[in-house]
Amino acid sequence: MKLRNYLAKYGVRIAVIVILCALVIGLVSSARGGRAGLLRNADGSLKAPLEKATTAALDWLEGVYGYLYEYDSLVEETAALKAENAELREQVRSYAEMETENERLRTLLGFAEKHTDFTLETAKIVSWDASNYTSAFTISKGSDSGVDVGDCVITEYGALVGQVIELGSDWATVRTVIDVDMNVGALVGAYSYAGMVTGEFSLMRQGQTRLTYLASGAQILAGDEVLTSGSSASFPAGLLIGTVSAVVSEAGGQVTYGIVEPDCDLDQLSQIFIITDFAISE
Amino acid sequence: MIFLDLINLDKIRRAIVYYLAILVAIWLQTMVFSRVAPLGAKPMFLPALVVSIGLWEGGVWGAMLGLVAGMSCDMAYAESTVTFLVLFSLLGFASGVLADFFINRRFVACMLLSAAALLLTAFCQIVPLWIFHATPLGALLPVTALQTLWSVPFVVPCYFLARRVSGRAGLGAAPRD
Repeated sequence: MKLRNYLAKYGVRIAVIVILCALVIGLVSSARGGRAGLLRNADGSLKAPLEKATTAALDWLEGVYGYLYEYDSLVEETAALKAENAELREQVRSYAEMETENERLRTLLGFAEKHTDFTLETAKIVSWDASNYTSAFTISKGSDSGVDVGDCVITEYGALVGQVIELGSDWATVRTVIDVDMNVGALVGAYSYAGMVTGEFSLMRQGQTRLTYLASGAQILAGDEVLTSGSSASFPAGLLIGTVSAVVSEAGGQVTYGIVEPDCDLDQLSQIFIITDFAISE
Repeated sequence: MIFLDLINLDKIRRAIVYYLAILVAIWLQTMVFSRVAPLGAKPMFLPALVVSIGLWEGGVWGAMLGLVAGMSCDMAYAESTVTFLVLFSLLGFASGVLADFFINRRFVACMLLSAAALLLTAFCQIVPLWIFHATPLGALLPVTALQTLWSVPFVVPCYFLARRVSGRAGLGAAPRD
């Protein structure tokens, strides 16, 4: 078969199939506004246990690797320990994990007492997005737990982590505060200057984000705290986003923006809290 | 039995094996290698699998399995809705056409074709950042290069898997479709 015949026979048909699939998926996706369709939801739900198992297995392997890595320096210490001690250590590890979670929940309780208007839902991070160009993760709760697209995600200390962008019945995708598509209204400095925290690729790679669109005459300094302004219905006012780590001037000093170090340590996050409802302050 | 004769069991077997390979690749890429980021970049090797399938099975299989792989990839990545679906279908079809009419099916050809596909995929990923977020190419290209570099070694298992499953090793270059 000649190339022209081949392309005429198969190329057109394949192009039609691909375009139709892309159109259907694109239209369904935009019509549902972040809520997963049937196929996507089934995929997410099927993957959830697999992701949890994979994460658990990799955590265990990391633990084994860490143990082996430090083996030489620990060998004298561990030689004296017996099987009973190993069992006890295992128990201690398990208690420590519970204690950490308990501590987190106790901290959250203090935070929740200060913000009685917040309805909070706890969730665990199941997996991180594999892309090099986004900062997002999947969590273990979805619409069945009252989570919705646009909900704000925080740590137990009330530091902003991100926002729910996609939702399944028992899973959700959260875009972090440093992602390039993130935009949050912010207040900064002693005089609460208004600005906008917007993600930027180079800063995202370093775990930072940018404070920009500052009101004219605004003066920001390194060390200033950046809080959510509550200007949108998604984020309550007064949540800590981070701290200004540097102030940068561009275009001959006409444009000033701040580099913001998020308050939450994204690399260490394992449990997060979703604000499913809050009172909007006028 | 007459109905069984109507079914091409070999084709079904190959399709199932390729689909399972795509699932395993997606699992490795999104759940295992999402935690491994040497120098801050994660691999993205699914295009290499699609190219290998296209190379050994022809354009139609390449396009259709590329469509399935792309759809799965779009579901797994927060950044895109249909980008990978369109791109992987094109890559699968193009590699099949190239192998049927212009190039041989040797490993070196597959490696070069896959490297080009991996680069093209990475480039498609950075286009929205470049255009809509005005991110300088200088910041994006090192990540693109690293992503491609970490993905290239995966061409080896992809190529030999497709070669084995297709059962065409040592055969001529006549189109299968």
